[in-house]
Amino acid sequence: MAEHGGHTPGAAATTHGAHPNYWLIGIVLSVLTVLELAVTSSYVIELLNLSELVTNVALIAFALAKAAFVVGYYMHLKFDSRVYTTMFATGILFALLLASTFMLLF
Amino acid sequence: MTAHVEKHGTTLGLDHRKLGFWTFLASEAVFFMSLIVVFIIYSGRSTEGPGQELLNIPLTAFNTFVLLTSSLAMVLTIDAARRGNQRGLKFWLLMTILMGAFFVGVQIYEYRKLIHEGLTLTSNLFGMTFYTLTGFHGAHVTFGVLWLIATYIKALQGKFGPDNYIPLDVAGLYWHFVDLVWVFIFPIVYLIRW
Amino acid sequence: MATQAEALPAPRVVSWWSTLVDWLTTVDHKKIGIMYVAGALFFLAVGGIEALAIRVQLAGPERAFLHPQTYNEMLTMHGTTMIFLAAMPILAGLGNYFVPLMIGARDMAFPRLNALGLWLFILGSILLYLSFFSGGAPDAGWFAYAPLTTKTYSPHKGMDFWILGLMVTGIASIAGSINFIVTILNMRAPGVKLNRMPVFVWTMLVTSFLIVFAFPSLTVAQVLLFLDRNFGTGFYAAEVGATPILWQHLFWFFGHPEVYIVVLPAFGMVSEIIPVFSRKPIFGYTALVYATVAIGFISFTVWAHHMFAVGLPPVVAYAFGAASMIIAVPTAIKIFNWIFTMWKGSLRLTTAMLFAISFVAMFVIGGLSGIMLATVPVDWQLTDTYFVVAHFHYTLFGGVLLSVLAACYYWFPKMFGRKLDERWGKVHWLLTFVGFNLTFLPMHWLGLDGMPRRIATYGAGLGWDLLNFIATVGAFTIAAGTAIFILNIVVSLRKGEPAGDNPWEGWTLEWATSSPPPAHNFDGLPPVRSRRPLWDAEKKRVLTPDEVRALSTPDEHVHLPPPSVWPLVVAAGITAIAAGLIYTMFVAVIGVLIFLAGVVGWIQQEGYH
Repeated sequence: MAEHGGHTPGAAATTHGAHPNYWLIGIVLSVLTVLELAVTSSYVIELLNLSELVTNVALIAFALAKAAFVVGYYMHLKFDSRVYTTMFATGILFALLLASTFMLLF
Repeated sequence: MTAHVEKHGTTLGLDHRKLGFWTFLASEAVFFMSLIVVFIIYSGRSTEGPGQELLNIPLTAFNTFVLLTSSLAMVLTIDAARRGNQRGLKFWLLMTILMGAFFVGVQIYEYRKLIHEGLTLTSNLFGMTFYTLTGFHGAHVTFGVLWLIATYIKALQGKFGPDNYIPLDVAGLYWHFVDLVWVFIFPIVYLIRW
Repeated sequence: MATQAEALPAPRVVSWWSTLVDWLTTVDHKKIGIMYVAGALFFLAVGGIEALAIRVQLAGPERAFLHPQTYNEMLTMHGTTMIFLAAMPILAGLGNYFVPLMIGARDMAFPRLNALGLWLFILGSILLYLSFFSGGAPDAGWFAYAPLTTKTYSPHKGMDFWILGLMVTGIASIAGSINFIVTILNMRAPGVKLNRMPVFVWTMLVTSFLIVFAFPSLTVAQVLLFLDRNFGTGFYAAEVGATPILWQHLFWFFGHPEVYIVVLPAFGMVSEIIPVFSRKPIFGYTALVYATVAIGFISFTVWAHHMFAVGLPPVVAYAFGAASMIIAVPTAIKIFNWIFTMWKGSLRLTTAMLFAISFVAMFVIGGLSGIMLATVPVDWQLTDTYFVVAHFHYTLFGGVLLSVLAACYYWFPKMFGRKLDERWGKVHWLLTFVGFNLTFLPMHWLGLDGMPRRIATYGAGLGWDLLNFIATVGAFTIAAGTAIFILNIVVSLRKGEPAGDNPWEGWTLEWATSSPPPAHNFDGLPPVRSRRPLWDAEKKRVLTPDEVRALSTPDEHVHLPPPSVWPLVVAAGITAIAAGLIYTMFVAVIGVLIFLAGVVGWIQQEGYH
């Protein structure tokens, strides 16, 4: 019963109105992956004289950027109800709590 | 039925299935984070045997690209469904399935090669954490492929369209989530030197 | 479907077979709730018998009633059963029955997922108990500390049953929680705003979130342990560079929220019962709700207080100790809310109310000994002694069980249309209350006197004999009370005093329908404009059932989902896969086939979505 909530006028307007260019996002994600490979290639590391710390921070940053694009556009959280965002963010919050404490402890 | 839906249906105006599925994904996030954390805290603690240097980065990078592109195919599937484009729907769904299956195939090939080169589940802590983390991810991809195949059969029967795309949407959420997890596994397991 | 619900037939003669099929394939949240509660009460009795065996063994020094190995198995199964097979399902069951009624919904959001959870709970529990017939039950404690649980120290298959049985029931818990969250957020009747929901619904919501976020780390811990035991890995083996403490962190990251998972709904039930029998609205509703949410968050930041003795860095230990003390603040807010609700109320000391008041008093004791244990140096003295046993029984027995019993007396009339007998109920309460304190109060002194927990026997002349004997007498007093409770249920089901729609003059929505409610729950709902929809502000009393009916807007659009056998099939498949991982892969393969067949049937079934 009642699985047609997505068709209420408000939700329909937001989901149909803003339509990201999926192909563009696909390209951005690929470029970010190439960048990830670049900062770990010995050629680039020598060329730019990257320290291990810089490389790792860059890798995490690229991963976070990719994740933001996947969650925001492919999983269309950016255009969907805030409730979904809150729900998922709560999970991420507890996951980060676990991760940060464990990495401190071990 | 519609009158009933408006009266007792959804307080927040959201679809039950999507709300429930986002909750499930929040739970899965904690699950994968636990596995990733176990990988990280055990990295560099192996007392013997091979480690990260065995991993084939170019191959996995290509596989990463395939999985990311399968996510693109998945959103194009849903987009086609919303427009009522049945041909596009079926085409992009099939592409998603093929790319997902390709990813799993490459992972199996990678496992076989690594085992041949001496890295097994029991070789050392790296082997244990590597196979457990990527194995659970691979199992999720495999389950996703099966799910999408079931969805494809329904798509062939013409069950999806502008009025009924929520099942595709939910399957898509699962698929993107699995992709999302890989976005973190790839740098953490393959690229960062621990 | 509509025709089915409209044509309510006169009582007809039904064969036992069709009754059985009806219950096995039901997706009605009320029937599922009843089965959850029945299953949980059964396991409560089993866990109680295990506790009695432990107490007989410990009644005097150097007794040989149980072999030490059997003692370990009893100890492990008592803890595991009470937490996972009694407390959690009884709360899931009462929640299942009453959450939809309290928010004015027809059913849960996902009726078949609901049934799946029930069958996974029942089949998973059976799988866990099959261990007794397959070489030995789990024997390393419900906390299953590595490396005691590795193959070296627990060679028989018991721990594998523990891992997989609890994984199966864990899937049930997560599925059930997602269902509760969606139901509560998305299926409230018009007017039931978040800040008008009964406190019990709030606590079920928070508990469901705790389950969703806490269970994954248990699952990961169990997966790693299973690999260690069966596939030769060493996630918890120090000799390959790993650290066994990882288990404790993963387990308690789940394990401490778990304590609140079972106690929060108990708080919620008491918050329903005390106002009704004090004839006053709950004192400080908003504070109570915020306290519930606060407890939910803080419960994730206290887990290492179970591990003060493992050698944590001092800063870490004190941080977790401080967080554990902070959680006492929202808990104390609740205690004061209940006390102020009763203050100057017209108390009616029914059995439900007696249990509820006892809960408040006993939980205060458990909470205070908890603060003592949160003090790191005190914990170093008391850890692994009977003081800890006393502490958590005052919170879990005094907290969860007493309020669940209160809820049983409070809601039984709604579920079955008849009241439980009040006189026998009071005998039950007296025996339980006295027996409980006889059993667990002496354990404080035993612990302070240095008696370690988890030991199968102790030497004579240590000064522990008398107190242990008293504890055993207390345990049998509780058992006598429980026997009276079971008899009371059996007799009252047939001969109890008819209850009517609203025997206690409650004001939440579950009392706005008949007892027991019809399959579609409500013929119509009264308007909801406050937290107490059945309360008439002008007349300053609760509306009579006739007045409720006159106010209600009839609902013509009844759509009930058809019964479904597929949840049972899918649950059987999952359980068979789990069993196959323990016994032989052949069973697992059959399990996969059953699972797939179930899923295909599930997808194909018409009448849903």
